[in-house]
Amino acid sequence: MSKIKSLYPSTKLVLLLTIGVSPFIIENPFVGFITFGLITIISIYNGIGIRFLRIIRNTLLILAIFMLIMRSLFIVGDDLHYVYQIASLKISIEGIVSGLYMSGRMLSLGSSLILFFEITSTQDIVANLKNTGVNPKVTYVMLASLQMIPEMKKQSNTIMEAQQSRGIETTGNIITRLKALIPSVTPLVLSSILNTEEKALTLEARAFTIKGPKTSLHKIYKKRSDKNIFWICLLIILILIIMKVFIW
Amino acid sequence: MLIDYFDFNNNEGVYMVNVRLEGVSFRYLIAKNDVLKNISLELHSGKLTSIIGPNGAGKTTLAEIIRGFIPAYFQGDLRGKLYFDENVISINEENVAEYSKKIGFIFQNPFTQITGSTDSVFEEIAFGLENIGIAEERIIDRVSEILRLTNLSELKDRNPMDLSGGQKQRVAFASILAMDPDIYIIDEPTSQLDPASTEEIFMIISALKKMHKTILLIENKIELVAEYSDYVVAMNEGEVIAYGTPQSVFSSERIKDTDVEIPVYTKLFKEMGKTEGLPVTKKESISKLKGD
Amino acid sequence: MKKIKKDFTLLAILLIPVSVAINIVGFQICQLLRLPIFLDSIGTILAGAIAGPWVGMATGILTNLVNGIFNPIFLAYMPTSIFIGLITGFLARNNFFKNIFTLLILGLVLSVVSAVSSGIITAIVFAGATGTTGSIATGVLLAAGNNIMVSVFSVQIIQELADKFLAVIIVKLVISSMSIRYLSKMKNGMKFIKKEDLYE
Repeated sequence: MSKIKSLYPSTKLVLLLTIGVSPFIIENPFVGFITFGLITIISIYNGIGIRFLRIIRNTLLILAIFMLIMRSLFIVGDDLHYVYQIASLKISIEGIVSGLYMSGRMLSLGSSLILFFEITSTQDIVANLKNTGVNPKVTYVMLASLQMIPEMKKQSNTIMEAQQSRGIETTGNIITRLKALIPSVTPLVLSSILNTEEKALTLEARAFTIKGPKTSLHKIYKKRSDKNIFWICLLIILILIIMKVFIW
Repeated sequence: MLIDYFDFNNNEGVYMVNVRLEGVSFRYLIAKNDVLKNISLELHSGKLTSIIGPNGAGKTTLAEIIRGFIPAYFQGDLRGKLYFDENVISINEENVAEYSKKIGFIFQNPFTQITGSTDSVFEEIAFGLENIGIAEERIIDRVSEILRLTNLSELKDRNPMDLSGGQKQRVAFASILAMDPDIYIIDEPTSQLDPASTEEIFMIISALKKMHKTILLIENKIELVAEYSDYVVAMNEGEVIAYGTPQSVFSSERIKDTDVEIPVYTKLFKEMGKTEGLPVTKKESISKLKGD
Repeated sequence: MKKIKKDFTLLAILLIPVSVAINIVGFQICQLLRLPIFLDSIGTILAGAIAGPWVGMATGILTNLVNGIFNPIFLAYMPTSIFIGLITGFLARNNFFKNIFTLLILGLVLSVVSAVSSGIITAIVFAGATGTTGSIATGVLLAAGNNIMVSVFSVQIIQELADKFLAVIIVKLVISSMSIRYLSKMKNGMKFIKKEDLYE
């Protein structure tokens, strides 16, 4: 289980997605929660259980609860069997079941993706993409975006502080705060865009647009176990689909 | 400082290139007037040629033409000829990237010279070599060598975005050094650096001279220009108003009423009433004073 | 295909990370100022406006991917970002940024498209739940007898109108401060340059 971290990125993704997507095929409202549990166990085995659960709590958990509630109360259909009533809101068993299906599936798929990104470094993902033949301009744009976000955050903090010291109010009624918005955003945007002109020349100076094969310091390779796991996962999905069609 | 010469482009030994401009004029597409008027000059291998002049004189434009960024990236009306060793050079969008192997360009702004796609200084310096397709083992050797040369070994694992302006500029310099071009165009590299780092940059430039590189430097620190340059080109309003050794240019009458700066030592002697044999460096002025 | 590729000049490509970062930081600034809008597509609108629909679309997709790394829910809303990038690009090409009247129409179109697209996604994928107070409002409307599409849409549209109107105005202001030299190198750039300013 803990060896999952060292697999090739696309293998990891296929493996986790197989777990994450299976509740969409299997006809049982609780499967989603079971696979979610499985993914959580994998995260614990990889040493990031607490961080993983914290992320789930901050992102998917509330949504899952809301989905269950919304579905239980508001599913439409004829012939619903109501089991409970609060004021004018009626809870139907079909609603509960549908809610379990939807929130279970959402938790399962969502958590599989979260875990994937938590146990796969950006460098590895990019190396994988390069091996697959993705245009280096695309990988550049991805990496540059990721780097630019904290940079711009820092700059926006500086600008906001400068604006505040110049007397532009950032608290108070909504109109005041709106007025604070434009002088905070505009200089940042303009200077960032201005810099792209010179950055284009910098990239040219580093032979970024040169034609021909490129090399890479960070290389990753597929092992035989990667290929095996890939086919096993595909097989599992196939079996589940066949079972769904013929048995359930 | 002894520097091992590491040569990618030409394994047969020392490679020397002379650059020559003949009657180069340029007007930006959206401008009415020429920003460069009939420029002719020559850059020799193993020599440092510095361009001086006030802002707006056209220095950076000239540098961009030699590198080919004009007309590849900046539209306009370019006239005249550019030669590398008697070959007429025509750079455009199609081949501007190829020339990065031959001409290195170091810009003024340290912040925009960090590519933004690397996590460490090591990778940042390796970026250009990866793009050219140099084998990984050679890249590692080369980058390690360059880190040592530019005194950046301690910073090799740091994220280049986190460095100071001066450190970023040194990384940018190192990144171009790694690519080992024959021609270096360096645009005000020390404007954001402290005196110690500035001195280091000029040490590197001296080393490049010994490696027979052809160097064009745009610089405002006039005393350093006087000390290190073999030739000086004084520009004003798009024209070359003086061109020659530092001594001849700084003594030249033609720059007298312009905004072109001269070394403080030369100024001093001029104000003392001297008109001939003006010194341009500290060393020269001391020996002149002693001799007098 | 080749025509689309032409949009992706090096300069246009470099606009994408900046625009993605603007989307994400813009959102955070609004949070910080506690404004009830998101401005999380301001970068997409900017990119679409000056570099064309395909660059705008790429910005939208990448923003969702980057956000999706930390919260996969964003991945589901990718179609909305794609529409915003494409529509802004095509309408900017047809001079919708030229005067205030057409600018407001652009804002309206973007709000409606965004609300409908996100609404459908929320309704179908997430059963109308968004994990925010918006869901409670949606729930109230549903309880009152409205169907799910209408309920989700009604809640979203008000927020979207404020958000997109402000976004297009800010984008217009920002573009008007850009240098002619830069704009002349961008695909839609010429649409933003007045003839008088052209020859200095």
